[in-house]
Amino acid sequence: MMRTVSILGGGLDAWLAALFVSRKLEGLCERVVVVAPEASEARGGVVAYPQSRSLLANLGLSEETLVRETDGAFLLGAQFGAAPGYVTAFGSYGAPANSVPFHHYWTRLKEAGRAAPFDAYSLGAEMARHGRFVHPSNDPKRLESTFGYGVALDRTQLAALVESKARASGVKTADAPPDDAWLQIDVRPLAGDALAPWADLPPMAGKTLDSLDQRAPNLSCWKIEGSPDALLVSLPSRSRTHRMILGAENKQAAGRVAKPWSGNLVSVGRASHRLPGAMQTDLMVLLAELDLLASLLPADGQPLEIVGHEYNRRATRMMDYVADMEALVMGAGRAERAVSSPSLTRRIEQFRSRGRIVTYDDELFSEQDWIAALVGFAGVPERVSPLALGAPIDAVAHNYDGFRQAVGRAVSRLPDQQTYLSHLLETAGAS
Amino acid sequence: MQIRKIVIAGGGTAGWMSAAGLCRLLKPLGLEICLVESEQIGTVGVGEATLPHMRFFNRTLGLDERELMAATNATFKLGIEFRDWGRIGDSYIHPFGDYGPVDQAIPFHHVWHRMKEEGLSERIDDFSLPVRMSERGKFGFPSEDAESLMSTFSYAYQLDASLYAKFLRRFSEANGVKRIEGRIMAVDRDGESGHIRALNLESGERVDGDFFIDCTGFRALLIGKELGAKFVDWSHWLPCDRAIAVACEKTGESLPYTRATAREAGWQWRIPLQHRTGNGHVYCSEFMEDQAAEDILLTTLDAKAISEPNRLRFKAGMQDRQWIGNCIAVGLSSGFLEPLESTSIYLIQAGITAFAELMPAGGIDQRDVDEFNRVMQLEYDRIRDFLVLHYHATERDDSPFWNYVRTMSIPDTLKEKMDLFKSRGVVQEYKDGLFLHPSWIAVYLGQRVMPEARDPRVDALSKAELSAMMKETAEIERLLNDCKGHETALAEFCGQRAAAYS
Repeated sequence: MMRTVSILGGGLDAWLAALFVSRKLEGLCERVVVVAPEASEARGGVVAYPQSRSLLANLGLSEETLVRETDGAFLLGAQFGAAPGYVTAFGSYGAPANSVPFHHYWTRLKEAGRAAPFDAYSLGAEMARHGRFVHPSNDPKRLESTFGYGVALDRTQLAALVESKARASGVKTADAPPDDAWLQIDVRPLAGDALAPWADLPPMAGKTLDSLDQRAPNLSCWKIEGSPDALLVSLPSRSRTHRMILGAENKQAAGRVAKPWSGNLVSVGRASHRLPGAMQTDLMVLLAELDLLASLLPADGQPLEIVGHEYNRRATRMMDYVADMEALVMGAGRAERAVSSPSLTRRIEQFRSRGRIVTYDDELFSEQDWIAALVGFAGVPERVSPLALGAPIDAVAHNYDGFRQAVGRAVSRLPDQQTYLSHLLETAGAS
Repeated sequence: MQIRKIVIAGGGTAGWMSAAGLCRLLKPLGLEICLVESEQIGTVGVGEATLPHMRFFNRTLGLDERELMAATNATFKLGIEFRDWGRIGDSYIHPFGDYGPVDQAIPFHHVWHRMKEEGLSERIDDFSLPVRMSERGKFGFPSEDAESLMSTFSYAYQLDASLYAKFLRRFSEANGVKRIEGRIMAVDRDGESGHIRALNLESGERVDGDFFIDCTGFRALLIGKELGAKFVDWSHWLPCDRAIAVACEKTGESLPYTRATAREAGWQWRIPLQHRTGNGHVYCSEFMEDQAAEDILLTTLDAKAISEPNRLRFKAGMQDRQWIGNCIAVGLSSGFLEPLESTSIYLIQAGITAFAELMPAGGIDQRDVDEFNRVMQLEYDRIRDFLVLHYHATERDDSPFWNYVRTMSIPDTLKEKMDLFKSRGVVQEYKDGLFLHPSWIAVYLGQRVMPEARDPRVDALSKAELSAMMKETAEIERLLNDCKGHETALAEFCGQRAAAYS
């Protein structure tokens, strides 16, 4: 059967969806058409989370290709507030003892007035703060294995790269949707009010200010500054800084569609949800949606209700949990705030109660991600695991002071990312 | 109030697992732990067949595996064979491991579906190392090398649960747990908070404590009778309510798997230990008389019975709250799910682990209580669905019992899972819960629930790609030749110590 998949919309999301379909569903979809590709691509930067790297590589977008051809840089996390700020890094903080996660011991140290900032115990966070980078070690015993990394990219250049790969894979363009589309993937930005609003997020939208032709002083993290009413997000790429303001100017409520899959139309990316963008999750969510879609594609002539229902169940949960994270870092975890999301309410309640980390099925963020965010934005737990109370505070302080010093020594030995990248690209180019 | 003393009410598997687990997991707290049990009250001795998770529990305690296996007459277990479930004459093994290459974007059972259609493969079982090992009566330890096929499975034990409880008793007492012999006659509670203050024993002794663990079995003396937990009855989905257990002599070489054979109004277990074989008939009293059930059991044993038949009564379901005030329920006092998938010891372990994670620091906090109850509810619900699947996914119409379970309404959560699999072969996945993707595949396919459609991406695979994947079956056969017979593997691993115990 000749199957046609049409992609409704333009820009990075459309070409990425087209490339995904043409590569991952090769042999299944004979024709992939991007409808209205002329839609202009938003300028700015985009973040590929660690979770997305292998999926991108499967599409022919290896990290070396991304770094080389889209002005990319390796990202270790996000810095909130002016330097030194607070860094949520991809990776772990501290080390567990007695099977109890580090944040319980850190809570004890903080109560005793003997704690350094939480992120000082994370190699990933400290490397991010100081603009360092090396690839992590595969040896789990080494401190250098405790961090993950993503990639910061120039959106316009990435869109061009993805488009060229999609066209090389046979993707065509059209002015109007073909009548015989087996499947339509909608990437057009959600218009009007979201049907399922996320009440914990302020009604605000991102607006790209400019892309400074000025190299970011620190390539290893993106920065979020300002107040919850108006945030400035600065995202590095290798040769410039992309700046975006999140403000109430457009007053677009954050939320998602109620049913992203309906009939043969599946809404993904900006068509499925609208978030302010502090956590820069667009690309991660889009790729996860496409991957989920591929795993649930109906067979020929099969009714769509059941797989569509499953897609909607899982995709909406996935989006809701991403919204939980965005809401948390944008202030929902402040003590005076009432939270409406039941899942976020439970996360905050359990964390504040005794430092317990609640995660759910279909999460895109890891437990480590939640630890970093909850410690940074939900306050200090009232209690810790009783198992963290056994050791005398002096011993705990001694142990983790040593850990923090090891982090400091490791960071001082590691290269600046500019240096690392230059060497990496030279070496790769030479080979 | 700081918890300084934990009192465990009841011994048996649940009581001594709780004692051993807590004295090890909570060791840094220096708590006083005591266990009250009466030799006059028998134990059910649940869970002769176990799941791989138990090995992690034992490892956490620091138990020596050889010593444990020798002391409990344990054999290795690679899965469960189900006979006569989909249809009379059918047989399949639910293995502790994966099917086929696991690094594929497309779940392997879809690929196998096409292989079958192409005439390349008849059985998905040929892509499972633990299934093939079981069928050949062999055993080999899993590898830690993720590249090796030997890393694609795990194993558990078939053991004498009463000996396991004794083993843990020795461990616990050596680690400071105090055992008090006595029958609990009354429970003393605080008039204001309702919290339990002490257990009053028949001897007149009063055992006070700050926190209590109810391991009193079906009686649920503390959580149910005293604290008012309500039993949520699931017998309309899991109608079996009786069991008769009997041991028989060992015949031939012990097999590295448990067998569950469907019978007219229930099913029969066969669990091979080192020195004997455990047997039992689980049945529904609405469809079968006790004597008839016993006759079926005794006439289908491998060999001569060596114990008197032990009759048990139960009801499937769980307490609506498993933590109330300063008491949690662990084991049969928390609920009951028949041992079809060997989940009894796992549920004990889950309760202990959840409690260790949520143990109060200072006074009882309702948020901890709610979280414990949420976590345990999730465990019970998901196991329940998996068990109900075994009964409902059948074509059997040869008895009123099978007609009932085949046509009964099932939990909505299971219906959703089954509809999804039937229509497109999708296994609903979850992060928290016991039975994962391969388990559901084993039961679906083993009981003839074939998807109406498969993942369409499979149809884009070339025959060369399919043939390349077929090579895994040859690799499995090659590895099997390197594995030892189960009996030999047992003898080499713990034979000498077993001799010392005998």
